[in-house]
Amino acid sequence: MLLWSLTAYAADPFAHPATGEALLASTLAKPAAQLSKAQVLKGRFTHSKHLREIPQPLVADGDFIFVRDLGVYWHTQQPFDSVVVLTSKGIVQRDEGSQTMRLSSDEQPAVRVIADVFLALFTLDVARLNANFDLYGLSQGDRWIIGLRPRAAAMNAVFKEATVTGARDVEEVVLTDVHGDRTVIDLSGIEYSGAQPGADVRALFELARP
Amino acid sequence: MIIRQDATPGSMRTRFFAWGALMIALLAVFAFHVVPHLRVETDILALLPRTQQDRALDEALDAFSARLARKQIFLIGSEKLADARLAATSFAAELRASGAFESVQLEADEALRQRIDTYLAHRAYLLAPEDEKALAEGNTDRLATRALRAAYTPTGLMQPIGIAEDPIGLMNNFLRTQARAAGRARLEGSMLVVEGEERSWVLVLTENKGSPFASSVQEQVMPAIAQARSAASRAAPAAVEILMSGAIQHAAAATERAEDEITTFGTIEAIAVVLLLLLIFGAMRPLLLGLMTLSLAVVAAFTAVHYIFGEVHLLAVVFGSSLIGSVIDYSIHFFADRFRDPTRWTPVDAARHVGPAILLGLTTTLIGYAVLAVVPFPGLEQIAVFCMIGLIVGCGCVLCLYPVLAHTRRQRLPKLGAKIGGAIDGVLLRWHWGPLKLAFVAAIVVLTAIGLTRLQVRDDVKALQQSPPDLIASEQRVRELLGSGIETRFFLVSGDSAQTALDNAQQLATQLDRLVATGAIASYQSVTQALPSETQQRRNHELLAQQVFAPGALLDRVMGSLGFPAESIEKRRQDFSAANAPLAVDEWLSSAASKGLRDLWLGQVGTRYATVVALGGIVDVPALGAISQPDVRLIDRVAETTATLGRYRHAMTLLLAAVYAVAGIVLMIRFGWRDAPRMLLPSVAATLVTLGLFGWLGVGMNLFTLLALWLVLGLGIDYGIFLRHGRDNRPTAILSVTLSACTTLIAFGLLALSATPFIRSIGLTLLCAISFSWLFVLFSCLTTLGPRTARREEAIHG
Repeated sequence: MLLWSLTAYAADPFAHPATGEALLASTLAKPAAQLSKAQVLKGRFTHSKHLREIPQPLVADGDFIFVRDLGVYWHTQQPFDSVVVLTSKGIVQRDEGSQTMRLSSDEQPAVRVIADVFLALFTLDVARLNANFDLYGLSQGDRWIIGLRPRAAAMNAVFKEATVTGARDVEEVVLTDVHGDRTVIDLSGIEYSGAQPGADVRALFELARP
Repeated sequence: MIIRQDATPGSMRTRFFAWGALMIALLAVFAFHVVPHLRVETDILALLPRTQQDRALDEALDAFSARLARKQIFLIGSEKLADARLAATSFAAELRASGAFESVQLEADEALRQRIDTYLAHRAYLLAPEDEKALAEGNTDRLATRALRAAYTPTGLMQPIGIAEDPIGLMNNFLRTQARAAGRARLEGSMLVVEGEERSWVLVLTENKGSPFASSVQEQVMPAIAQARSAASRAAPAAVEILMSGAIQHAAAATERAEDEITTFGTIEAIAVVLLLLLIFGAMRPLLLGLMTLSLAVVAAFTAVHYIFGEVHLLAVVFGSSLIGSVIDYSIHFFADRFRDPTRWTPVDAARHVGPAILLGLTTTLIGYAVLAVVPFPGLEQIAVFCMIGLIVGCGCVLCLYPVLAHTRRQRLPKLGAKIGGAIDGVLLRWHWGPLKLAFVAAIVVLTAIGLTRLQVRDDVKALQQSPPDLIASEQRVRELLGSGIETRFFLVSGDSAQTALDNAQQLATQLDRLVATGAIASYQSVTQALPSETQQRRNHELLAQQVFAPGALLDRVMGSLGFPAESIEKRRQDFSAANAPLAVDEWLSSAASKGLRDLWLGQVGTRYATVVALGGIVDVPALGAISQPDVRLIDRVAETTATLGRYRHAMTLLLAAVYAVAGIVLMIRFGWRDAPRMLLPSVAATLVTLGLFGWLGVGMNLFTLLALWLVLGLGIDYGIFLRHGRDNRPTAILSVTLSACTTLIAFGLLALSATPFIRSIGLTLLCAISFSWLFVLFSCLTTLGPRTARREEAIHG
């Protein structure tokens, strides 16, 4: 298994151009079908930033809740407590109960694109990804890896390329910027629910209401 | 005919050849030099005078408006985004292929990286306003926290530049203030997209090459758009709708409508005039000579206006059609003279007989137009020059060419003309001003007086120039979909130097920030948002040096806690110290960073520098007016235009009265105090009754009503002069005046049906005023009050 995953990593997904339809038909058929049924997705994440100038990555972890049509509730617990709520309306950050930042997508169109893309990455919303990226992909057995390169120069400034790997679930998202600095997000312990989210979950997103 | 020509006196033959040669030269110039360069202007605003005292500034503002007017926004919509994309792609490709556009933008903001690089090079001088405030207040903890969040949470992913490039996030925050939203549009792939009306719309922005009001530009651009529309529909499998916003569609619609109307009305007019003249004169010659005279007059007028003003305004052309009235009148008077003595009439006689009356009529009319020409109003100058040249040439043709060309062997005339003249004369001869009739006149006077008090003034320029409803609807939908509108109010900011202008704009911006916060306006656009003034930049630099890059300050704190090694921190400190140049105006202007705001910078204007601060979503106009700051002025072009139209309407009302007075004096000198009022008062009365009627009907009065009344003055006095001159042969004089009035009514009656409000104003005014003028002048000149009968009156004078 270890050997297999090494070879999968060694293979460069960007050597295998694909289209959204092709990926959905083959590589991502299973996970995408499963994800498309989920209304709520919960799990834990590790967010690490690899900068060339710093030997150790900057690591944060916490848990997240994705709710279809609402967005993602991203709760960082280490090294500090901070909540980010990301919706297509914008992004709101709250530290220890007080709101520290709000970016509305009406004022910042770029925020909405990036928020949308971020949401699409975790749910394998290939149709949306296909609108913004050139897609690449390959798979072996259950395991798959897809690559994305932004079509618009505006996106290029944010990240140059991204890879998403997984098997049954999305397991890792890697975003690489033009300088070669990387942000790696590992997901684990993912639970699906096909039921509509309860009031308690919805309340988490109230934060993002203007 | 040859024999008869020999009978023409020598002086008249010399005049004929001299004038003929002049006219041939005119035609040659017109055909080979004027026609290839002719430019017809349809924008009503082009007629308006300069309102500001500063001419240079005015020109700069005009240039600013002109640049805005060249831009178009297209929304290509379909139910599915993919279809909208396909349609938009071939739409844009078709527009590009046409070559009619300076730029066609489908792919959004390719230059983001260049923009970022421009700012990065001057990062030591740039700060977002909120960060500047935080640094000035020493509130650095908040900035430190923000930097750590960017490193450990997804908020860092929302930033255009990475942590290594911008560890504290100050540059990212500055760049965020630079992200100028195109309303509700967002980036989908490389295209800007808005959602609305259950469709996805792709945005295409274009800029055409010349003024949208120039017909040559319209002829290039509009077919290109039509072609692109059909290409877009073909490209997508589903139904595609295309919305457009831009001055050119309105200008093109106005031109097309005017051309349609001129063609339709012109044809009907021509047919009606031909029938009328054929019926009365029973020969082709008067008709052909009349048309020749008219053509020469119009050609001369066009040529003169073209050389003096460089372009011909639609309004001058419309007034040019008044030449049909006046110039054809001269021909009519000339030929109607035959009815005096059909068997022995010669054109040389006619020239001697009606010549003085024509010249006198011309003189009074020219006085009117000369006054119009001195009013400092570009549109009026054009109309005045157009009419004066046209009338002089028309009159010249009648007096110089007709004595030779109007020879006819026909001895007999159709009876109709004599019958009409005789019938009207009969009514007038039998007319007795009894108490009942006088009471009727008194009632008219009272009704007119009441009507005048009810008369409404309507100077609103928007009411004078209306676009077809479908274009306005399309414009409105674009505005709603995009969530941003074009405002006609803006601030003009100036200064002794570029930097003072920027400083002033920056100061204004802080006031506008307050208005945005209170909701008085939705947004504003100022170059200072993307190019802080040098004063501001130096202040930023100072703050950065003290609060961020000083040892132990924010840079050390943030980078230290992220774990950057000391040399990484030192390197950034050195970069900051090495930076020694703020972002300069010229560099900014030539860089991608100024895209979208560049047009607001007017640059050097005369001895000063100026910039425009544009406004969006104005809710509270008085709040804007309350802003009082030196070198900052609120410009409201629509209100200014309306005010200007009002001011000129007012001035022209007084001038019209003055011209009547002058004309009265001229008539008094020539005809004495008894007859002069009889010739003048009918026009005055017709003017007042028309305005009174407008008061009752709720028709608004504006500048163009007054222009029409100017025509009434000239034509009405002509009628008086002809009736007075033709006293010895009343039926002929009556016929002559009636024919004149009929041709004018035919020409202008149709203008009353025009879809263009200001042309309709002119038409309606003339329709009423000329009818009244004709009616009143007959009664005024040919009936008499008191116990004396008309016949006795005639006997006394005759």
